[in-house]
Amino acid sequence: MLPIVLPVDTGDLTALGPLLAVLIAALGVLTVDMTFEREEARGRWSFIVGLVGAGLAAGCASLWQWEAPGRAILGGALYADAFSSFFDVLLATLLGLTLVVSWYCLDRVKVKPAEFTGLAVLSFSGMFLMVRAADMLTLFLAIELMSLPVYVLAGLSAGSKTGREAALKYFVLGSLASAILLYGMALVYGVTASLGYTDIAGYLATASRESGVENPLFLAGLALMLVGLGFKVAAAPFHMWTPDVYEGAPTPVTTLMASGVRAAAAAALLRFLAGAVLLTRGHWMMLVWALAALSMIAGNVGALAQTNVKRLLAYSGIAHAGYMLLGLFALPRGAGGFSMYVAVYALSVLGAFGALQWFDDRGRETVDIEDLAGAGKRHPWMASVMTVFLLSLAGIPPTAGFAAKWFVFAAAVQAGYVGLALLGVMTSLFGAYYYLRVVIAMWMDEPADISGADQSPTTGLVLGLLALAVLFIGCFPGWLWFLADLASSKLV
Amino acid sequence: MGLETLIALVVLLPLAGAALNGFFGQLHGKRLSGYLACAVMAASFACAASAVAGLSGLSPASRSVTSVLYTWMDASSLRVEMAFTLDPLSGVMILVVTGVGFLIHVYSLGYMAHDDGRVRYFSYLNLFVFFMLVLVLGASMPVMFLGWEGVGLCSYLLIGFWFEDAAKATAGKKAFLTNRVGDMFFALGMFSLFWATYQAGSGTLAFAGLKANKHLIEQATVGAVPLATFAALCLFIGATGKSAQIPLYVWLPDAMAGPTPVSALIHAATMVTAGVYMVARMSWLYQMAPGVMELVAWIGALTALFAAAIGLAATDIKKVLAYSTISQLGYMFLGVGVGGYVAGIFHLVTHAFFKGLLFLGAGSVIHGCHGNQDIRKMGGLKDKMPWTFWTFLVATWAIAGLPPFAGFVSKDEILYEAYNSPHGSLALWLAGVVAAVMTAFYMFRLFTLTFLGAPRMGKKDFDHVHESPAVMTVPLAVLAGLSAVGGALNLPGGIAHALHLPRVLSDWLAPVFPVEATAHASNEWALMGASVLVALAGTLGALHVYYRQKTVPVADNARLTVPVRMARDKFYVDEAYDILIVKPVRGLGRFLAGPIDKRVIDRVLAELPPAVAYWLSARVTSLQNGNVQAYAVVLFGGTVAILAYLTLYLR
Repeated sequence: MLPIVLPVDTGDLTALGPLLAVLIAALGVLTVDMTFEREEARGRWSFIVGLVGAGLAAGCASLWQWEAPGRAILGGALYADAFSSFFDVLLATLLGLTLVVSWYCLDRVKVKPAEFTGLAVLSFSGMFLMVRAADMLTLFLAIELMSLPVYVLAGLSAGSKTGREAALKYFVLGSLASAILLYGMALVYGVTASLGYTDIAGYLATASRESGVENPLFLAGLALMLVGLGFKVAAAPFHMWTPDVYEGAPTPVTTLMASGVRAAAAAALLRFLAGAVLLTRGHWMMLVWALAALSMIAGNVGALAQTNVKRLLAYSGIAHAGYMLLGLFALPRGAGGFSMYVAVYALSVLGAFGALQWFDDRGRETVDIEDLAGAGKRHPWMASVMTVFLLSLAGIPPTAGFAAKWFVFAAAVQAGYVGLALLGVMTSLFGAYYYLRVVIAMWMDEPADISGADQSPTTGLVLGLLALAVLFIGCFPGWLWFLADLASSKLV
Repeated sequence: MGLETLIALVVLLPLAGAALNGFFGQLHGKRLSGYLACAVMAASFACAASAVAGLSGLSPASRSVTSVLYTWMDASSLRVEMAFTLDPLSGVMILVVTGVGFLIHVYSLGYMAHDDGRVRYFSYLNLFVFFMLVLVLGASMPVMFLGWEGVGLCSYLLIGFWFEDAAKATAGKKAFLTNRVGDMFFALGMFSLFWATYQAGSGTLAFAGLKANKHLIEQATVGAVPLATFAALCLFIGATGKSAQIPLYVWLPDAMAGPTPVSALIHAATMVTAGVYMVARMSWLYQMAPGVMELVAWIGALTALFAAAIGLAATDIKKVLAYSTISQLGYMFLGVGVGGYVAGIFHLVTHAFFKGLLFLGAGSVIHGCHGNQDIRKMGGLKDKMPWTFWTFLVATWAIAGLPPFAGFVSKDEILYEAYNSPHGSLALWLAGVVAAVMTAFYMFRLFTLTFLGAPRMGKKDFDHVHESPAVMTVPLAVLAGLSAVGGALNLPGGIAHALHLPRVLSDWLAPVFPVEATAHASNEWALMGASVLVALAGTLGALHVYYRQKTVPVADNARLTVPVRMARDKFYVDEAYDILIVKPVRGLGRFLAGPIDKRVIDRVLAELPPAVAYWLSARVTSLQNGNVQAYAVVLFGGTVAILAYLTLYLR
């Protein structure tokens, strides 16, 4: 049963800091939106408030004592542990970067900056809630808090038919997935009579096999929950919405969907699997196996024939969901590879979409590979930056993507899933092909006939720093691995 | 300065010179680059000399100092230090390498004065000396191999120094590729030695460690063959590549495409002797493989004979010297092959003096004759180039084996060992003697045709012939002095005994080599007498034919007698290799590149998979038709499948 009185103490408030910072920033942006008359001022101030929120969240999160043991707070609704802090830092970084790389492009896609910032920060507050959700109800709330603003964001571009279509598709299928997830939660609750992860794990540990881990109702509930969460991380076969929605939504929104949303969903998935139902892993490991294999194949094969970069990155995202899932095989020892992969993928894909936006032509989005033709001659620096992100996504050393892939493949091999790791390596060959197609277009083709836009030096600088970070992680992956492993090993 | 520091300096100074010239040569200019290269060589020689002096101050048993720079690789079972060991043997080698090297660097100042690539030249030359020093000082086989490969690289770079000329670039390539064959066997020998010690639990590649584990290597076998025999054989095949012995000698004559000082330094005095040095260094291993020792001796003797025979007919001044080098290297292998390690190393040293001198003299002649290398178009240069003439005469005298110059003493010692050593035989001695007749003959033929008689070039050309500048003739004079008195390093046993003089080199090297003293034989004077007689016979024969009768080798091969024509055509070995190895390998390559690669591999591996992948991609994306109901169906399908698996299948 849910406790009615929530005991709050100041220690809990510290642990809630990042979440509160972003929530307050979201409210702040709404206030700004109502306060200022002029569109420009509204945009600028909401942007500033959003950035300050991200900065505060990152600051609060890094204050957390990583070595301290995790604990449940707010009557067992939320966790305060190193895992939350790891993803707090990541999400705060993603929020800040999303705002910065999108800022100058919003005009071009006819999205009002204040609206974008408000909804984005609100969605992120859902993500911050999601990574620390300790019971199923909080998880569901968090998912909806994250998703609803994104549904709106996808259709926010004024007069864009594809945007509206994408929003509708996303909304319809997302609702469906939510319903399935909720149904699954109901079944699990029905069997275990508990909402909290710890309680569910406790029930499974004490109950007999028939009424516990082999209870068909419980297994059905688990399956449905996997579907719901699989939808959010875009794993095949629940991925069908991704290409259309990524393509149709304005690029700033796609950036947010590909990085923040998936990072948070992945964190929630790992927390649920490791915290609540680890005992039944014999059952769901095969499912993870199948989802991973299907995702790697469908994503990589699908990306091959794409000529639209956003669509290409959508398919590649499906494949990355598959690689990410390989990291789960390290359970129950702690899936540090999984968390590291999520972080590296989110940063790399954000960089790639950010750079893609930077290349936007005046009044028109850059979407096709041929739009990027000759970018290396016209904007060698930004083309180099884009190349770094693409190489990282392809998993080519010395970029972060290589190190991350190494850790998830290692997890799969150590768990004895050599075949799956081999499949991962083989399908990533496809990746090398389609990412390099973009790289080749940029560096070897003759410049396309585009006028060149009013690119922002700030965005360029930030993306350049992000590219350096990706290279740095690629050369020295040890510290990130240490943090990810530290954070993830305490989940069990 | 400690000995360790001195040893490190000997090696690192030439590297510093190479780096300075290589990276900043264009900044400090062509003129300075030559002086810089000579300066580091002088410094390196000074360090080497004081290091050897320091070594001689130690007691004979403790004359081995190792200088460790850093750990090169550490893979638990295999640990290799970047370490250099100075002992009496490597001491002799570094004195030769830096000493003769320095003289040749100085000479190069004059010889390369008008070449635009001087900076590159001196950088390569310094780099070569560095690698040669790594080779001789290396404390373990991998470090020696590093030098071994490094000198090969520099040799390649310097043979093809004038790479605009396709033939010269090809010569460099030929040298490199031929050496690769030998290098592979060297590596194989090295691995097998490591394997033997590793099996026994004390894997090492350091010379000291290997020697200490001699018994382990003696017990090990490769199949039915004793491992010592296998390793010794592999290493010797490596040596035939680097030291131009049968069957891998073919690259050395072509290597004459490089600048002449390079021929003197790399392809006469130092690099080509690396194989002899290696066999001497591994003498304890060869002692365990008497069969291989016999092979070494015979390969050496046959090479000495064979190359001398070609030298009899060659007409290019540098080619004659090249075959002469191959032949003299054969003598050295004959020496070490019969267990006369001191004799082999002694000949290596004296050969460095007189063959270096001969090449530098030839360079001076070519320099004076404006690039002409054909001895049929020379003659009468005696008065035009007096310095070159007199020094060349000393060197010719020495190599022909006429007393009392250096070549006589060292060659005589090899022949003495070939006859008297437990590993020697009359047949080996005879082969050496016949080669000695031919040596004296072709050398005086060369000398006479070049310097004596009437000029056979156009008058205008002859008038332009000039003596080389002092920067070139002074090194000639120094080397001539060494060629003349170098024999004093190791007087023949009988003479030393009679005069109560020490045998410097034998005593100095005694701690390094296995003690297997050849009994002091009473036939020493008789053998020496025979040596003198055959040398005299060859000399007088050549003088009779080419000076008295004024014979000039004809240009038209068709008018030659069959044996001479065969010798001039190098016994068709290059052609045979071409037919037996090069053409089949090329054919195989063409076959693999054409039908196999283009038709099979490209089709099957490079065209088929993408086609399949694109086909699949089209299928996968055709599901993506934009219809949201269809998406929902897929989602449901996945859900049902998972449900079915978890609730039905698992039960």
